[in-house]
Amino acid sequence: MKARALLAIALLAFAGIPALGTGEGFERATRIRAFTFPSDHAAHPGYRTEWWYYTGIVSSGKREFGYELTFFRVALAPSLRARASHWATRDVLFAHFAVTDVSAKRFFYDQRVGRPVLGLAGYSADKLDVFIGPDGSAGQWSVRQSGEAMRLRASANGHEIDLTLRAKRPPVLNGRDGLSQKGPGAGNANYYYSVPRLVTRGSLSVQGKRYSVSGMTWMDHEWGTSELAPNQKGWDWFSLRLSDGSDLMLYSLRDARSRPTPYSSGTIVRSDGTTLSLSQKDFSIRANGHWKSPRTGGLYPSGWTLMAPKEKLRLSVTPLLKDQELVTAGTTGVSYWEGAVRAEGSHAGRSVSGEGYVELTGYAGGAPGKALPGR
Amino acid sequence: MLLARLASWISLRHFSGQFGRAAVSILGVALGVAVFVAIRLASGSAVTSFRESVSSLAGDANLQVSGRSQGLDERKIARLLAVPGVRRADPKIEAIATVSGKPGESVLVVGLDLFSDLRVQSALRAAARYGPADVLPMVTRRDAIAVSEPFAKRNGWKTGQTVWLSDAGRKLPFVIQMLLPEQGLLRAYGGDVAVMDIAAAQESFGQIGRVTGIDVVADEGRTFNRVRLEASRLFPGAEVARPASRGDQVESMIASFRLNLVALALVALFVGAFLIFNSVSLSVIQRRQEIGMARCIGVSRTQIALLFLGEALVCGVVGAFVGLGLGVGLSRLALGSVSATVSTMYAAVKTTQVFVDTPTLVWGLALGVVAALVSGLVPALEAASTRPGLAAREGSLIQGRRARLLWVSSGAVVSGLLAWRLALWSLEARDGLAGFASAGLVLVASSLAAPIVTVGLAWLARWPARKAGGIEGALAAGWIVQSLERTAVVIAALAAAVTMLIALNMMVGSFRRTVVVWMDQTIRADLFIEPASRLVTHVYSELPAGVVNTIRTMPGVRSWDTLRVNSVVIDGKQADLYAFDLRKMADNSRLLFLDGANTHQRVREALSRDEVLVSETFSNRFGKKRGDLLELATPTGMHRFRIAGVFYDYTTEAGLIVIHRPLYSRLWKDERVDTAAVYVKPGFTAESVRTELLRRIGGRYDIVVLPNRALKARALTIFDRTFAITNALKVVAVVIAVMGVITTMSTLILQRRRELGVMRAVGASRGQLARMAVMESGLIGIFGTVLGMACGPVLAMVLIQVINKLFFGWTIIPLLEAKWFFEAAVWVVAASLLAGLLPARFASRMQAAEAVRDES
Repeated sequence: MKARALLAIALLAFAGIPALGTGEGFERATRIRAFTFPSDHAAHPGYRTEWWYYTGIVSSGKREFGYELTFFRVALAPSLRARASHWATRDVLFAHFAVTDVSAKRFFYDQRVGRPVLGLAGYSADKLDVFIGPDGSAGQWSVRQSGEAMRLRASANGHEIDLTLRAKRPPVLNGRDGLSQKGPGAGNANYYYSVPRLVTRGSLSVQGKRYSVSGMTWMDHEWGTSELAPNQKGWDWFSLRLSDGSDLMLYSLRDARSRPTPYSSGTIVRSDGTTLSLSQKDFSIRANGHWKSPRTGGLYPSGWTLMAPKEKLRLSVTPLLKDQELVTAGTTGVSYWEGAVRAEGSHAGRSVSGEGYVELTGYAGGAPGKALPGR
Repeated sequence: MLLARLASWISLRHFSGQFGRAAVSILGVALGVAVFVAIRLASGSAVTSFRESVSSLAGDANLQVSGRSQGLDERKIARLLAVPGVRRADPKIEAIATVSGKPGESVLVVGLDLFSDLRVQSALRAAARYGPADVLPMVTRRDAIAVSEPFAKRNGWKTGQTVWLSDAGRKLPFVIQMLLPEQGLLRAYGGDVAVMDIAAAQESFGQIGRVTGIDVVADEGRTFNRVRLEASRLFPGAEVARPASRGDQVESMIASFRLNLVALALVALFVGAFLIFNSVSLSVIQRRQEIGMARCIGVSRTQIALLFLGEALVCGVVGAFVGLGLGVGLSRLALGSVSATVSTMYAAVKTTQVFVDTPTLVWGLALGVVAALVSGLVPALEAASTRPGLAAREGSLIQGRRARLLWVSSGAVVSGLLAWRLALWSLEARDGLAGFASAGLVLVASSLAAPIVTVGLAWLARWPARKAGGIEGALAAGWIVQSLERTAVVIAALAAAVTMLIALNMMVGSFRRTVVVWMDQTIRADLFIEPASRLVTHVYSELPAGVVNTIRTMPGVRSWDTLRVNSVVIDGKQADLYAFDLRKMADNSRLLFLDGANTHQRVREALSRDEVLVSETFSNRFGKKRGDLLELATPTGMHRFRIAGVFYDYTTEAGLIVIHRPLYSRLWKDERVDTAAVYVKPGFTAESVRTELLRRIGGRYDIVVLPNRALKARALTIFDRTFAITNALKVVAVVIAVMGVITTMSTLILQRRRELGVMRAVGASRGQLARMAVMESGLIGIFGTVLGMACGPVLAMVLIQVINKLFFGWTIIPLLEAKWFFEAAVWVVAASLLAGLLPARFASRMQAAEAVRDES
């Protein structure tokens, strides 16, 4: 998914690490590959960028929470020239962690940067194992394969998750059999799959108070060596699980005049597991209202109507909390909105409800790739 | 009101006439205060600079783990992060490098994790003009650095430029990738900072596998002490402390150095106080008649006393303020020297500005004023005791002179005895203040002895004076005794100055000679090889392995050894740890043991039982003797060592532990060396080996090869620099005293117009009067010098045997050199004779009739 490639590269830029030129020397997603799981959950260090995105909605009794835990891996160079220092590294890891306390109307987030050396942070190319912070430390953030399940852990300032995720359905390959074209030219693409329904159990703490929770998580995993198109201002991205058993992923890439570009796309997974790819002309996203950030002054859309006439889909999407903005000036300088949402509407003639996450970028300040540090 | 009018009548009326005298008094106080203020400010600024440097570097960290010389194992950082209560643990590499082509310029290079270290993040954000493309090479290249803007500007550096930095004998090229504003961590080390990625720093500065420090952000509260303990456990032998306490440690280390200088400054002030005493006494004598009249018209004793105290106070306040200004200016000059001394003795510090602190100014002011008031008190009371009556004659002899002489002289004896007792007691109780009190009492005793000594010396001088100077000489000697109240004060001031001059000469001279003798016996190697940077940064740094390998294979080398310098903390106090091959040392050189033991024998003992040797300073500072056990934290855990012997040493007052190199390498897991020593084979000269060595390694490394004599000379240079301020103080004291002689003599001659007029009238020639004046002045100089010469060695012994023992713990073999006495005598007597010339001219011009008429 291109939007997140942008975010990953923007993160790098703001951490003071530039996106690297042409990507020469890295592997490229040029043809359809055979995905195998769980081994493809692991890292693919031959490619320049890679990310693991987890967004979920969980509850404990009547208390409802949303959470986000994201890891980015970005390579600085195709290979590490012979260097004596163990601190020398070809990759950097970034992570964002957010919790939405829906009932209390509170939103919390934090971020980490990790150097995958000396056990201080790391990733594995053999199995799902990405972490920032050494083993045994209370501050470690990690995503790890644990038998059939995945285990997510993160904590910051009294907010904490320790969740076990089990897939209810096999991963869904996005784009053309998992090859997601990002722009003109061969290899300007990523491998991209989603696991829309991961049954989630574990504990979640908010301000030091611990809750036993259960719910559902959406996972995205993508890797590649694609490049940025110059004329992109930001994106609106949706991931929704509907009550009829179908799942929806949509994103609209906006150009400088806030119009959707042709690279916008989506995937619908029907309850029987069949998928349908949507191109830009197959769907529309209309904002119903706006929310102005008191911190960044950014004016974000807030509440949408999604329509995909081919699928007879019409959804009204509402944020569970208006303010779910991540201002990461402290480390990365990017500000974006990533929040839990609820959906109501109809699908194939039946009324449905749904839940999921929305990500909005490029509303606070200029395009992320062009903004300067120290903003 | 009345006091004000009295002041205008008695004090101000005379002011114009006494301007010179007042000015000298003021200057005397000013110089004393200035030296005090300058020393406090300069040493205080060095400490403040160090503190600021530490806190700029530490950022948010509230606990620092520093690796001393052996460094910290980087693999344990992950384990430290897992300790509950640890929020962050940021590793760093610190190196002080010199700048090629910029003599004297040094820079603190800090290697940090550029990705996650918040200090770097904020520094980078502050430099808004740079984009990501500028930052990337910082993490991908070995040689990219970011430099503080003012430092780059001073050196004329621009981004993209290649500069050469030297550390640990290696010269390395670096590319300036960015210029960062001087804030946050870039304010450390006086703002001369370069930042780079930790990986690149490890590779550049030979620190693969280790870091020099870890800055920890730990939760305050219950867990903090556990974090501290765990850090000490994880990194045995490392220093684990709050950043602020590192400043405290430097402050406490510098305290004795500072206290001694301050005490010396007080001596300068003591001499200044004499001038005020002198000046006020003279005004009292001069205005005796007016005081008598004032008393007649009902002015009370208190009012009279206050009046003269007021005069002293004015001198004190004005002098103190002038002194403050002068002191701040002087401190700027002293800054470099103090900073270098601190770096040599304690920790690398770059002091670029004077931090003026209010307490020092208040203290300086108070000292000046109190000294003035105390010195004005006696003459003021004297004035107050004047009986009412017009008959009171100017300058008349005071009643009961014998009794008073007796009193003052007994005071001298009592002070002397007290000084002796205090000296003994202070050594017993290890009380430094008592030691200073004892030294002060020696000066007091010498001052109180001045009248009786003057009477005695004048009596002795009658015959020689008559023989050499004829009637004028006899008159001069007689007059000095007649005017004892006035002359004794000048003689006492001169004696105090000479006492100090001789005592300091003797202390520093004996110390220097002791060091020279010690060096000749213990520093035997022909050549010493060390990184060139030490000359600039004043701190030890590593010698590249390539240099050691070259030495090993050099022709003409009979034997060679290396020295590794590290430090240990015992009871919260830092001491130096020297590792070298004891066997080689015993073969080639020797240590001088306190108990006179043979070096080979002691070394054999130490080697057979893995024992250590300690210096005398260590033994004194930590209260450890031969046979005692020392427990040291090493990177391999706590180890106990028995002390096999205590030897004389003058390299560091912090105290020195010497350990056999293989034992050190094993326990400290450290194979590096700081300096190497070479013994040349017979048939080769040190110079030829040196030339060959430099030819083989000079191009690749930035090192110096010092011949034996050059090393000793440098040691003496450091020694002399440490005492440079002491020398300045000596001069100040003498200058103050001589100024006192000049003004006093002028006043006294002026006062004796009538007497001189009468002499002219009864046939004295102008030449005779002039000769008399010069002889008076000369005799005052001689008397003061004689008294000072007698007291100087006494004070020197207090300085050497009491104060030095208490504060530094060195053995100094007291020496008397005729040169010091001769020097003092020549200076002071010559100055006194010169001081007499002006009054002499005045006396010789006097018209008999005019002088006599004037007084009628």
